[in-house]
Amino acid sequence: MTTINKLVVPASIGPAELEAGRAYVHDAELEGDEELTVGMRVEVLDDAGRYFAATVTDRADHLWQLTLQP
Amino acid sequence: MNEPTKGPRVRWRSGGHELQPETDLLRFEVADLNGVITRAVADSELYREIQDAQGHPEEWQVLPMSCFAVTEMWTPDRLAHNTGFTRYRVVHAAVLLAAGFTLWPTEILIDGVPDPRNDVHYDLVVAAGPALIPGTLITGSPAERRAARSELAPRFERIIGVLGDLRELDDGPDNAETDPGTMGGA
Repeated sequence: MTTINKLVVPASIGPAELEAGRAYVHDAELEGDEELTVGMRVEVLDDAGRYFAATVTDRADHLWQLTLQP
Repeated sequence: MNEPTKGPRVRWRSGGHELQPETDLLRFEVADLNGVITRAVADSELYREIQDAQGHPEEWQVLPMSCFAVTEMWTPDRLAHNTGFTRYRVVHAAVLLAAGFTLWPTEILIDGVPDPRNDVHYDLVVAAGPALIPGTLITGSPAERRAARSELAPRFERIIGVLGDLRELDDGPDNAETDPGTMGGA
């Protein structure tokens, strides 16, 4: 049996994020011990309590780009 | 993410809804106060252009909370479309202003995609001033981040107290029958 653990990261996801297919999480929204890397698959928990599968696809300044899986 | 259209952006809104004292302002309920705080901190970096235009110095920071004007066209149910939110608070703009808070008409874009509700979007300014945000909230250890969030929490608790009682959406977000993109530029 294989157990797959996915990191859950918070992000705001509204109509614009859903249309763009991307969301962003800021370092301030993390706990500091997540060790995100580009290419990592994560679960996004949005402000309303919904979960989305996503991949970390970019990093700039304090922002991580998350590409939402369709 | 270096292209100008990449990432989240906030712009001062010159058109759309104009605030009146009796305007109802809606704030969707985010159950986790820590999430409200860290979202405001994350968004604060998006307001550099607006703050520069207002003549504030480099160290000036703002803690915003998104809210929306409720109009005949933009009902709570319609504002909630595609958001997953089920609860909100609503208050007259005049109450917020009388309590000393500021409201900015702004529009949000994600990778160049405008939020369909931009015409009725406002930022409720929780606080503005020099060096508001502890740096440890962004770069600290988990314990330092918790402490920094606790430091900011009273500012948010105060504003949530002014926002009025919690209300439930009539239909739930997934049952909102209107697509915001099909109602003619509300």
